[in-house]
Amino acid sequence: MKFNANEIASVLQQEIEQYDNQLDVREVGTVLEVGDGIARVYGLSGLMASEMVEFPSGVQGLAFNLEENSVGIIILGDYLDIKEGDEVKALGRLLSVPVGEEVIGRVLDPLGNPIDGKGPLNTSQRRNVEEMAPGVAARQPVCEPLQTGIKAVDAMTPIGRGQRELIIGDRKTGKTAIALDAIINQRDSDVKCFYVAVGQKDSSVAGMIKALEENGAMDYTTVIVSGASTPATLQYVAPYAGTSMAEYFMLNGQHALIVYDDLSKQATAYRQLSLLMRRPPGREAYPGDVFYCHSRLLERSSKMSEELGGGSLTSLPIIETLEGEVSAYIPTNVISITDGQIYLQPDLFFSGIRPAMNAGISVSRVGGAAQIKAMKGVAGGLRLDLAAFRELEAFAQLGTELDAATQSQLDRGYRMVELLKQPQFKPVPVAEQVLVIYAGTQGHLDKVPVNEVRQWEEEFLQFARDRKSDLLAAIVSEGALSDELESQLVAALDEFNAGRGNSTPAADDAAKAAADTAADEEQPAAEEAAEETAASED
Amino acid sequence: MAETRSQQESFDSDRQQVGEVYAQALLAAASQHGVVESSLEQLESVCQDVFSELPKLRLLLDSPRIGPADKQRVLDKAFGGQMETILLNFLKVLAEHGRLDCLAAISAAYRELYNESTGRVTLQVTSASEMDQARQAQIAQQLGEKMNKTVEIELTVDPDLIGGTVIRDGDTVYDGSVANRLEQIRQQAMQRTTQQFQEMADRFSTEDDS
Repeated sequence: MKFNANEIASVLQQEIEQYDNQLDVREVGTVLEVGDGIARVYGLSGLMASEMVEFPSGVQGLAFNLEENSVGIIILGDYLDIKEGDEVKALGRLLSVPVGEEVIGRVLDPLGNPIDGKGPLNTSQRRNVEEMAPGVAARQPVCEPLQTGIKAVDAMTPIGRGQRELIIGDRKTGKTAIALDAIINQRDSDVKCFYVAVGQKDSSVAGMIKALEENGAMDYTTVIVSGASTPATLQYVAPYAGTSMAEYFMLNGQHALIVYDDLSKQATAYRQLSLLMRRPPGREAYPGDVFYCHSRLLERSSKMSEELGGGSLTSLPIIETLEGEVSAYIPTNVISITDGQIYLQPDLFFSGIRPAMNAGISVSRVGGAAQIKAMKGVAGGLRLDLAAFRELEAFAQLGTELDAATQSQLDRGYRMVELLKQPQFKPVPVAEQVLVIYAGTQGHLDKVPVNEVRQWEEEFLQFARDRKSDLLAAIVSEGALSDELESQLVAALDEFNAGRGNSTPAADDAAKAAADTAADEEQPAAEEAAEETAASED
Repeated sequence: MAETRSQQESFDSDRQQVGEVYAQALLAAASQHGVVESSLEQLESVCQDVFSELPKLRLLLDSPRIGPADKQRVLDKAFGGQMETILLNFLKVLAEHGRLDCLAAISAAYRELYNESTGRVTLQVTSASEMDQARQAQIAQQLGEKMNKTVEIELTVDPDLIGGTVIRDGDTVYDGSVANRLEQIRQQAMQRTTQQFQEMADRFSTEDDS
């Protein structure tokens, strides 16, 4: 690459010629003390809340505490270069990040600087990091579904565009996996995705970005990273920065999805800053306004009214609990802010039920409005049925004799649990979800052995895609399951089951035996019985 | 410059707050007796001249181990007869309240209150080269006309400015120095140049290809 010296010189010359002789007026203060990511400054008497300041090293900061005689500054960057006595300059503006189509597909830090080595962001548009949430008049109720492609979520805790659905659970229970699947499933939709990683290991973030790339999701996704090693200030700012970038699309009538992974780490970073600033600690040493910290963030997710373009911003905040303690301070706060939660349990996760969603306490307060009619029809009572099944299962483990009705409820429960299992990075389109959930809830799987359910599902979906594509298309286009479509679906199920041989009397008995043993005894017995069934079928 | 820095470094916001309260009280008392200017002068001289000559006296007055009665006796002996009675009484009250350690802050706050009430303002002027008294007076007069106040100038010389002056009024800095202007030109030029490079990036890449 050759640089033309004349061009550079001409730029400089232009600069000098255009330079008008103006007096530089600035508001200044003096650094009194510097601590972990914060500074106390004397002076700056005209400083406004959240105004930006600049230190001599070029590092910028935010006014956090305005006191009578001093100002508390949180430092956005390296605070080691700042010394006592340094002159601090007020910049007269608020913190902003670059926004626009250009951020899509990039990995950025919370200040909007690219960290993926793909060159600078060529966007001139900026948006303040702290923006007020849209008011009541600017919104409309959530009415459009946001398909996550996860059967358990779409059927039981549907998420609508503009909704805030909390993903909560202990460490290693698949919280991030649900969020990633939801992002990957937006491949064929018009939803732009934002993933905000707060206080996470850089290695896991790198792995996540790789997974997104492999699944073709980075084409419409922006990742905002403030890893565990970045200053607490940036970890605190990251969710707001990501939201500002996502809001750009919402305000332009488009749809966006943002994942905050996770907000408990942001709360910890905020607690650190607040304690260093000597704000009074409250419960669990969090400052009094930690609720507002989350509520003003999540309130920015909304569904705009039609007059304002009808755009939406859906958020999936993630909260990590300790030992399943949902009544800790931050989890209760965020649960009360969001429109529902997906609760993931370690014991379910380790028993192979993935996603490890607890149907009993997972809810979506938007409910049916966030589902297509067909899904609403087939999955209406599913969540409560599953919750009832879990209780019944616990009771059945006592080894009591069960009557036939209870036994059949148990059998169906086992099959539904099996049907709702789903591997990672394999989102299922909503029409296919409707087919399998209909089959499960209407008893078309009762004759399939429990451990064959997933294979049945795979084969049936393949069958539906190959031979009944018009049925799938009709469900998508109509959105509802009319009587006619339902009879077509029943016919398809019967045809498939007959072809598979599930309705033959021999297999029938074997399946029943398998189900019974599965219900009464340990898993290996059921597997043996099922193997026999498979053998007899062959 | 260095001196003001070090003063600010030992700055204590709590003491300043206390200082303001006492300074208000002192101003009110002194103005009733019409001794505002003389008491201000004397207080500043105690803080600057006396304490710098006799640091031990300051330590004695600051020390919490010495009782108020002893301190009052020392004050009487040291300043009795020479000082405005109001100011001496004020110092005794401070001793009573154990606030003699805030004396420097009180003195500064008192000066500020006095300046405010009489329409005076002290500006810190930094220039690149020495300035004679006439020039200083001229600047003070011109600034005073603009600000509608009586301006006093505290001059410091900083050759790093290259040329021009920097005037500081409280927290506001009016920077007309050559150094600052050069820095601004440098930043703008860098910005403009990177912008140009970004715009020309396409051309460079095609050159690489060919």
